Amino acid sequence: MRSMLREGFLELDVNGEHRKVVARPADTLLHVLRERLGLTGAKPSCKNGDCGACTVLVDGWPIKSCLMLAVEAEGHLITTVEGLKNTPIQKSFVDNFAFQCGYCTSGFLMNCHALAQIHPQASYATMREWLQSNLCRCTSYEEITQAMENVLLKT
Amino acid sequence: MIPFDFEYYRPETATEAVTLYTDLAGRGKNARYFGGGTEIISFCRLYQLYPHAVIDIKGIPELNTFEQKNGKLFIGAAKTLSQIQESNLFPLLNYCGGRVADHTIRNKITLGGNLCAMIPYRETSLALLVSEAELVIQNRKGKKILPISEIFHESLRLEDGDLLMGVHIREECLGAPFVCLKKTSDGNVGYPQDRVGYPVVSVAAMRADNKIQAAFSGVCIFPFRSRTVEEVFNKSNLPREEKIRQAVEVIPAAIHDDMISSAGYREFVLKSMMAEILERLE
Repeated sequence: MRSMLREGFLELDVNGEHRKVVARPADTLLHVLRERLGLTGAKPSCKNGDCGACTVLVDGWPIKSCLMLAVEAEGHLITTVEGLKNTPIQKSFVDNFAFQCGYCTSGFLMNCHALAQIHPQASYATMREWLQSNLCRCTSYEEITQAMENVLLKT
Repeated sequence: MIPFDFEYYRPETATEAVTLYTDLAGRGKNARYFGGGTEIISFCRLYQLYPHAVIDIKGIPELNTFEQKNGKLFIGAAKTLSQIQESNLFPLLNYCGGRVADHTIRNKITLGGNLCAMIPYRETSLALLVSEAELVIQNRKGKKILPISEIFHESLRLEDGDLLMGVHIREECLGAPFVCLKKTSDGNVGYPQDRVGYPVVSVAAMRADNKIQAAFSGVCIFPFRSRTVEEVFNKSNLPREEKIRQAVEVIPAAIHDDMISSAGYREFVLKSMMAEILERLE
């Protein structure tokens, strides 16, 4: 049985790298990614699971990292926006001007990238259902939807 | 950030988990079984919950299983709402679970976590109540299987240390005709916020054994299935309008009135949903 009784070492697989990091059992994945590993792409915003700015992928599925303990992520493959390199969704966001201030963008990118990977033939309804999980206060929703649709249409 | 420390355990068997729970209690430590953990993390961050330890049950293989055997479907308590939705094994449960929180959070929320939630909206309970599911529970004394009607009264009445392993659903319920509706106070405000939110009223109804069975949440302060309401629904020779009038009169508690919705508006929505249930399932 795995146990972690106090602050100690965690071993995480992040963006294809094996990382060993000191954390508390009660630390969220968001906190450890940003404050211990320096991966600031996942953004803290509501920290309550509402906004999606902190979305990362865990074994390919989008997860709000403010609602996951870092210790829970042991043994799973974590991908942050720093782990996306020239993916179709990144290009599509640029082509469609799918951001304004950019704070929510990394969370949207992770969610959209996961959808394109898991359901490349996703229906419009499925796409909307997935995109409900992220908020953009600059209201770039139409452009984000277009960027996502363009990636899905090309697969 | 959670402003205090707790111990973290990830047992590999249910026996190990319940033994650990008892051992921790014996040492004066308040432990919580931890599935998706979304509610525990949120409540800890808001200073509303202070566990000394969390027992992560996702590493227990039996709790991560879908299995069809002996005319029943077993769904492990650690299956996430998204996994249940993607499996499409029990469409009514897909619908009920598929309207909890948002899609990304449903990748984390588990069936067991939703059933045992501290917030009053336990949407998956509606599908399990109308399908008369059985709950598999493990504690120090062993394993027991109980009909949900025996153990779900307003909330799941587990004893201290009980671990919910999963649920059994009879195969004949899996494809039964159903109606599943949810209205939020936002209604449809447009992308991306349509459907996200706590329900003003939500219902799950199924036609089984030639009768309508229905469960509700949002109406009262707790989710419920009412045999009295169903008796009214299943009366023959009674006009629909009269059935709705009588059914509203026999719901088991006062209609809830809060900042999400007034009692009057809830009653209006409830009546319109009852009309849709009767139209589609009679």
